[in-house]
Amino acid sequence: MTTVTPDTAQAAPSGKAPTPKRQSLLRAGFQILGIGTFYLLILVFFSLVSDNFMTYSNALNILTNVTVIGIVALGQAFAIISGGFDLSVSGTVPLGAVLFALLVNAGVSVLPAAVLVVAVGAVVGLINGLIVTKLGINPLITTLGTLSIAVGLAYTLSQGVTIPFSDPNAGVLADKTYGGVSYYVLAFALLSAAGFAVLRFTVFGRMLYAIGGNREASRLAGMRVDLVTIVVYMQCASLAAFAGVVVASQLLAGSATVGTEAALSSIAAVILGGASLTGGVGGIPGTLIGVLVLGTIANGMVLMQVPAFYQQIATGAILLLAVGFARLRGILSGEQG
Amino acid sequence: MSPRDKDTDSVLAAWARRRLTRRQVVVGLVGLGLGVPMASALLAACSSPPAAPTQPAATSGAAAAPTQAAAAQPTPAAAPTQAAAAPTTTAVATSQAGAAKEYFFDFANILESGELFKQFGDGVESAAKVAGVKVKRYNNNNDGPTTLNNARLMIQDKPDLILEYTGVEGIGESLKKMFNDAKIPFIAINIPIPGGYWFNLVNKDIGTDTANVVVPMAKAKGWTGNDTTVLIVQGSQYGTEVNDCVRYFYVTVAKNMDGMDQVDPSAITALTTTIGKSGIQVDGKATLENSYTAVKNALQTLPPDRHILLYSINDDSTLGSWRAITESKRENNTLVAGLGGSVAALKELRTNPQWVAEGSVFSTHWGQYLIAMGVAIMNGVTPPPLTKSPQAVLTKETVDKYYDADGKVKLLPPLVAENMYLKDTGVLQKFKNVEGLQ
Repeated sequence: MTTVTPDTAQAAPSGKAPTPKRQSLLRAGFQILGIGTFYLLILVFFSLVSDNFMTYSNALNILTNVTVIGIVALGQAFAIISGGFDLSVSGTVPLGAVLFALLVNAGVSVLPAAVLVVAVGAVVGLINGLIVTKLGINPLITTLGTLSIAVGLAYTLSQGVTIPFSDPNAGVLADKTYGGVSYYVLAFALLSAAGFAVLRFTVFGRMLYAIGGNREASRLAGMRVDLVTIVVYMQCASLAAFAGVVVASQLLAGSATVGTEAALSSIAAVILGGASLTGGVGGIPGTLIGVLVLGTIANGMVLMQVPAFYQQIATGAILLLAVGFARLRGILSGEQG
Repeated sequence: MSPRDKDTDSVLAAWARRRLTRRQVVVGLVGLGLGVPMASALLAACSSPPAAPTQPAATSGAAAAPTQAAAAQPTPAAAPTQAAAAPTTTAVATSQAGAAKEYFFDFANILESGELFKQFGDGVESAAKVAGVKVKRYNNNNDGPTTLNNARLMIQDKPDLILEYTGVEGIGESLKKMFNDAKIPFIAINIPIPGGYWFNLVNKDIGTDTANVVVPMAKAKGWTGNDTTVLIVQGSQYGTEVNDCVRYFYVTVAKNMDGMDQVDPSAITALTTTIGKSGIQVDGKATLENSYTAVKNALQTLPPDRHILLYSINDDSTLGSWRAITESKRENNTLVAGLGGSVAALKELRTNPQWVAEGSVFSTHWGQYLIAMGVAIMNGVTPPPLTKSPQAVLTKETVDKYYDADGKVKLLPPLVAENMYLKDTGVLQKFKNVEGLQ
């Protein structure tokens, strides 16, 4: 009788022999190499067509632009690897931004306000997790519903207006720098490192891959699938709420109109980075590259002075190219299915 | 028994035995999926109109912002100089007639989320109350089908007049037909509708007037067309009329600053990104965040010591753009003008030395003009092709004349010549806030 382990669980559906951990790492590595190579090509291309692209200030600019979506994508990566996804981030980001603005304007210090906002995000994630696991409702419908609720809350709390910070010093995450790099970029880097460590070196991380690979087998293996799923949604929404704090700090204002593209952009970044919507595959390095691809394309096209309408066409085309490139690389490396 | 009867029986029998096949389930669901909406539509068509829906639309935030841009197009009247027209006997009679009868207007607002539109809608309702006009309010949700559905419901109300604020210009002909068939006069707000009276601001004028305020200030600093770039932030998806403000801002600046590349306004389109060596246009999508990102990227192409004249289609966009400027430490080399008269922008005008002008269309007070316009129409007056909204380009010197410290309007600019017919209704006088009519 075969003992079901997380690695076994991943291969169970196909009925083949268990995939060694090293092979799955190699597969992930090839994915990253694929999208990483594509990113290098993008860098070379924009460097050639725009004099202003390959400069230190523009590099910082790109990092600034991608930080908000990057933070959301970190949480989204966990959700997608575990076999779900979270659309409600497009509501949690503006809710976080508005709440943060209201709290700092009410005299709450930046750190406690940020903690409170993240806690509210965790509550949103808890609701998502409970509905998905206990009621068995599809994550698409669940998170679509909480998206609408969160956006509505953001509009209700802000009464539809932009809420500027009464004290500009509350934008400390954006205004303070270390070596020219804003605090929020450094926070993003720290969160990325933490996310990588969790996925790569912890039992929790391995459980995510197992659950994403085969939920039922993981349950039979004794994993607390529902609890892990709830935790994943909580951390995803918490990160989205923190992203709202970041964007409010960037803009020195909270608005219900921010972060509306967070869900699709974060999912695109995670998938670009090699994850699969069916779960069980993906990682933080690939996600980061996916985020950078999206941000660099947007930045490069503005520097090339491409009209806004064409930018949308070009962005979509480049995304398809990127995914195709990574997929081709995977096929050539002998990846199965 | 016909084959169809047999099929029905077999389905029912199978359901009774809980042994439905997959095909039967699918067929049943499809039937349910088609039948329920059809029944609902039928019931909705037959039912009485619901209470005026005011629930904010579940649209993305970006949808709210465009309306602010669309609204921010008043004719600039920085220094109102219109002489008051002498009232006519007809006007006296009509104002008396207007005061005597309680009219009933239906009002469909473009959107109920977003500061500008919510306040605008509230302004219409409160103005109607003061004027003694009954108003019923609908939410078009910035959506074509909803607008058309609301139009049908409004026609059922049998109002004396309809105030229609649609964000979808393409359905104008449909609206015209519906309202004309019902023989109900209507006023198109901001977006024109064929066959209707039109109330709107003039984007071209506000852009021109704003430039006329900004250019002397730039020149006073010693800036020239050779060392200055005009950075305009459009909302490309909102069309030519809305973006006329930024277009004519550039054209007017270029005309008045030596060394700038002059172009025809028609040469600046939604696809324009650079205007010679003197101008840059980015698409901020009329929102805070997108404008911030767009301007931040665009600034990479400008030398750090380049002077910048920044202008956008609405205050949210300007605030986001300004934040990109300050984050890039370029504020001392930038003059910025806003458009919308929002509380945040007025605060910037009062406190930020670089924020030198703010176009205001007083949209929260459009209601009193619309009600006056409606009463005039009811009294047999034919308005001009365009009734212009109140507007002014505020500076640090004039802002306190029109706004109090909390950002609330305390005085509206005098009526322009074309709007003098509104005075004859006596409605505006009830509010005691129009300069010359207090």
